Amino acid sequence: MTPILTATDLSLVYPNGNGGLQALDRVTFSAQRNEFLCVIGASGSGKTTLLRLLGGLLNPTEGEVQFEGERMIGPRRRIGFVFQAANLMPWRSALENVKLPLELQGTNSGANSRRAAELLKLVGLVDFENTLPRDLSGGMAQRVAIARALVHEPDLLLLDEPFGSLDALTRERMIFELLRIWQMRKVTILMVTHSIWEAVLMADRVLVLSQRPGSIRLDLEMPLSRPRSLDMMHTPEFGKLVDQVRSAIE
Amino acid sequence: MKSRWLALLLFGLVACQASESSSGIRLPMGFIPNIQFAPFYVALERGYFSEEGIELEFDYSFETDGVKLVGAGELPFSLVSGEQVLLARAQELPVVYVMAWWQDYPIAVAAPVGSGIETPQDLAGIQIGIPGTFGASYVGLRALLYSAGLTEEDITLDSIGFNQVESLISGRQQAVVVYVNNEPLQLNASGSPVNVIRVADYVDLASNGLLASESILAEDPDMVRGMIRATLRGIRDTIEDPEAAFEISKQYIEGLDQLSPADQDLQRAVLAESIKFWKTDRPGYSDPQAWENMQTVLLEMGLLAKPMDLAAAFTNEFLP
Amino acid sequence: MTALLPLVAIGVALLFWEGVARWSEIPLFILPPPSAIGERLARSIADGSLQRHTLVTLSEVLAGLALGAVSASLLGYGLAKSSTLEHALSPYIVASQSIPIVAIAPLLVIWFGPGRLSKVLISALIVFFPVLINTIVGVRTVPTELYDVMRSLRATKAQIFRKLEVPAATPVLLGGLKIGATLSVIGAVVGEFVGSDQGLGFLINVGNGLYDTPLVFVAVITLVAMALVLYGLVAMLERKVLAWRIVEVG
Repeated sequence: MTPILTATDLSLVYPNGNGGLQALDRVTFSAQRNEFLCVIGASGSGKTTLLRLLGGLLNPTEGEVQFEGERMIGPRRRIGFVFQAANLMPWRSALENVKLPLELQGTNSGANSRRAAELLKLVGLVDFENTLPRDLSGGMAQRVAIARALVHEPDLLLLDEPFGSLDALTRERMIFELLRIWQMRKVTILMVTHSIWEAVLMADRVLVLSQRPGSIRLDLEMPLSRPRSLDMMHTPEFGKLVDQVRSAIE
Repeated sequence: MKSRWLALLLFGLVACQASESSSGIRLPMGFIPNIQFAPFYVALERGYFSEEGIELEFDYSFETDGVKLVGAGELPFSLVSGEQVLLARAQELPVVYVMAWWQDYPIAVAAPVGSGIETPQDLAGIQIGIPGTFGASYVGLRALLYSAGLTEEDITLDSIGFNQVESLISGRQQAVVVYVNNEPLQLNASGSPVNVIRVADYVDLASNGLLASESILAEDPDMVRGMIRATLRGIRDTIEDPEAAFEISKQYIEGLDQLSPADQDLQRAVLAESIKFWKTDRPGYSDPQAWENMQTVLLEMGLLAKPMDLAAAFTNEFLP
Repeated sequence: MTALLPLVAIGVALLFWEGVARWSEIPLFILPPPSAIGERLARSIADGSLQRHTLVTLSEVLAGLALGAVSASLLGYGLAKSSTLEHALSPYIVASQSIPIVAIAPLLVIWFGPGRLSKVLISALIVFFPVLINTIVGVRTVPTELYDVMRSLRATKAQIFRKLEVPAATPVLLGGLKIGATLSVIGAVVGEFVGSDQGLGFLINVGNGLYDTPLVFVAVITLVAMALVLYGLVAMLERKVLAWRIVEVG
């Protein structure tokens, strides 16, 4: 089977008048269809930059990204994006926010509302259709953002530390929520995180980025069974994986 | 009068300033520093006012503000146009006209030479620009129309602000209402000769002069006489030696000295034209007929609701 | 009850004014008591002159406000989006703001004639700057994260304008419009002062010329009322359009 996403020798230099700041150095990896990948690394290792390159929001200085066998030049409709903050339009209700991608595609609006309502149900926000973002908690807002990223049925979902700003309990709940959605939708997920246990708990594979300029330090399978649960964290196997990832970061 | 609306905005400030001065007499001139005030500059410079025990200061505020300050008893005197006296008295301002300075009403209608507009009758059907439908310009125009048996309906009247020269040269207006001693000279000097239809040639109206409050007339008649004497001496000196008056005025009119020779000559011409209005056998005398005429025009215009006691509006009693 | 306090305050002030004017023998032409102004107001309504002059000024104000606001928001958008345009024009825009409107009003009357057009233009000119600045600020402060969302969804430029920039900049834009609404009244009146034979500015000139101070008060009060109504209408629009910004209490 051909990979859904391939990064080949991706390098990125931010111009800064001093020869440029190299953020990424020849990053190469690929993701299989329906795979759950986590990218982890110390702060400043270029995780977000990598995600923006993969989503087509940035163009690499060298190398290329291929999505479904085609070279990426800009954002694709088949890719959904979830940012660190929920980034909801504050003047739109939860339902209208979820509808936004469909509106931009110019599809029929009655069907859009039904689609968006289904997605809100999927993320567990049935009763919040007409709620404005200012009245949503951080976790609820992030769930709306996930619904928005999924509503147009993308094949690849890119998430940039989506739970970074949530409290510990909400974060745990959201982890399993996302795993549940991933299993129902059968979508490829690439998620950036700075939490080792989160990466190990969720991913099929964990990529570790080195300090700047970021390059792939470790590409490790997580041979844990699915569905995952919090109990797994207390197994020696889990601890060993965490240690492996941690030593690669340090 | 050019600073009409600006002065209006500043009315509060002006009023405060005016009432602050206690050392001498503040005289509202009704216009910006100008060569036509030469008699006052001469009289002040030559000490005629101080001889009468009057310490005079000039106040270049808005004409109606000056009248209000006199009416309120804040200031003893003000320079005004004749119609203001009747309009103010109609609103029960206790003010009296005590000395005629201009013998004729200085308003006129100017139209380009060759336009065929030469008499009041020719104004029928013409588009005329006027600073605004108030003040001396409006009264003068209506008097001129009245003398020809015309009304405002017979002409097209545009309120153009104090832009008469520009409006006439650009051809936007066929004729404009002007001060005889000012805009026609500017128009001629800028190569656009004009016919001047003078109000004074058709109707005799009470013109610019000295206004006093009723209270000062009762309390200090000698001071009123002194004020008039000094002013009349300044007028006489100016008529006799305009060039000397012009030189003295340079100290009182900022920028006059820096004008180009051509522009200075224009100002000399304004003074010469003004002087024609000041020459008379009976200096300071108010002609009752001119006041009758003024009242008739104001009644016809609807600016006065009913006739008033004209004998109380002016007096020749304080003349030397 | 607190809603009535301003009414009580104005009532007390009017009574005090009436008392001072009556018992201190201040002449009518200096400070007319409220009763005299009320009587003059009734008379100018009865003969229809107040309505006629008010309509003239109102039509100038509305046209000026519309013209000024539309042109300023269009240019403001251009300046916000193009730094080249902004660098080229901003010195002149800032300089133009220091031109006293009362100084150029007579010129506008010469250029555009003594009719309503010159008043509309003066009004538009005075409205222009606050709306322009607020448009620039409004568009500039649209969060870049929301642009990322739109770009990741492959929104076109027109979609970004309609679905992101317009709603996001509206609060600040309406703030500028509120200031503009009151300024537009000043603009029209300044124009009427310079040269006109109708409108409330003309009525003030007439009142001054005839020593009819109560009439001046009548015109001024009408102008204030007009400015307040316009301000109130924009504020109402603001509440309607910006419901999403107001945090509900309780």
